[in-house]
Amino acid sequence: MNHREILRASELLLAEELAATLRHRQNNHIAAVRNSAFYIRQKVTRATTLSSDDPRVGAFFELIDRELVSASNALPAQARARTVQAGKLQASMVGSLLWPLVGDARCELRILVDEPVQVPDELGLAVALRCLMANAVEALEPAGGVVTLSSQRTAGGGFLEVRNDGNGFEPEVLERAREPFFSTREGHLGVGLNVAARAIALNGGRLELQQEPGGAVARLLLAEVG
Amino acid sequence: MKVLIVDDEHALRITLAANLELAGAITVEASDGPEALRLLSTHEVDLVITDFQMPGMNGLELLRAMRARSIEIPVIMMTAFALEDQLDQAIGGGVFAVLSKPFDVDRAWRLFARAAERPAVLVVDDAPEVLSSCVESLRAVGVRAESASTAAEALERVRTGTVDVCVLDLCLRETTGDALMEGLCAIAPSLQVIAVSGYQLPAMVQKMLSRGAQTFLPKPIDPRELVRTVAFARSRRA
Repeated sequence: MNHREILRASELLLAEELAATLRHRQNNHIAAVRNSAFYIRQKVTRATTLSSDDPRVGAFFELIDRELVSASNALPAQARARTVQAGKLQASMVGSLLWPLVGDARCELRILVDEPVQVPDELGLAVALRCLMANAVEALEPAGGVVTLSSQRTAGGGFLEVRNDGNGFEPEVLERAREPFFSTREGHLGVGLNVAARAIALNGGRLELQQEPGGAVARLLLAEVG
Repeated sequence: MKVLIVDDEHALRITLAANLELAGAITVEASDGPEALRLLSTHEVDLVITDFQMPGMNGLELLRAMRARSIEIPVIMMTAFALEDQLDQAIGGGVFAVLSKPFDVDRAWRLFARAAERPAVLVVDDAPEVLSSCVESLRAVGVRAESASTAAEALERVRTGTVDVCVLDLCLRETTGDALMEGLCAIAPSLQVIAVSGYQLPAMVQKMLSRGAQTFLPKPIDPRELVRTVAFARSRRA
């Protein structure tokens, strides 16, 4: 695993997350419109002579349906060209690899627990950690502070954790943090956490965000790999 | 037919309900999982149609909560596709079928009507241990399943009209899988067949797939894979 691979995987996961978010929103809207058109068409056909008087009425209902189907297929259903490789991630290794990509002169990186954790997708989780570390560094701006990394095995698997000793999440920010395109910072897209959540979900784990005494915690929880 | 529609998207919910009512169904609506569970405790319904991705409790969690309360009503999962792999878990968790949004209401209606009848999966195998493990793994996630250990028994079960999917062993003692499949499909032309075998018999598999078998599962059968394959077979027919 090197910087180039991590950056390339980041781009792919970001593109996948954006496409998935847009597809989800768009398909929900399209489904409602398609259902409405279907209902109106049934009513028009049953209760009026509109369809038989003017063939364009029926033709246009067909057209609405066709166009909506095309629109819903505009975004690819799935983009999974990335090869996934299992491996072990450890806080010290992750730190030395990723800190040069996200670190800041005003911030200090510390390793708290440093156990190797078995992961099904090394690169995907490195991308997720990169997002979480970048968020931690940004949360400490402009004064700087301490970012802490941990990797720990547990009975059910393990977790990788990123902490920062800043002011932590405001309650309303914590509530909305997982919304795609939500950011408290100017010039930010607001999908970093979504990319991290996607990378971990694809590996059967989950992202946990917590406000703990002493700062904000983001934790990637992994189930044991069978 | 009485249907519970669960979706946090109001527009989707009311337009789907309108179409189902137009087709003659009675609908109840819930905007999230907990509300759906409350309604299920007071309403008799034949079918639950739920969105997969909802804030709080998602469709899979709702399905699990229903099964934990011994509510065995069939569940159809709607998805606008966001996290495909989580959806895969839901499919392995015992949904009747999956429906991609947006969908064709006419075709969806046929799927709903079929699900509400609670058809069974028929497992045909002359090895008793395979038979019982397949039936058990389907029942464990609330999928209705029956067993037949002979061709005559299988034909009889399909004749009752309550079977929509058949998990069929290619190598039965008294007959071959493709001959039996032909007999079963003559009785029920819309029957979905999933062929299974402990041996790779390329010619036979090819023959069955070309005659309309949905898919081939090698033995030993992975229980989750079986559940998933059944749900996919039912979804494809929609």
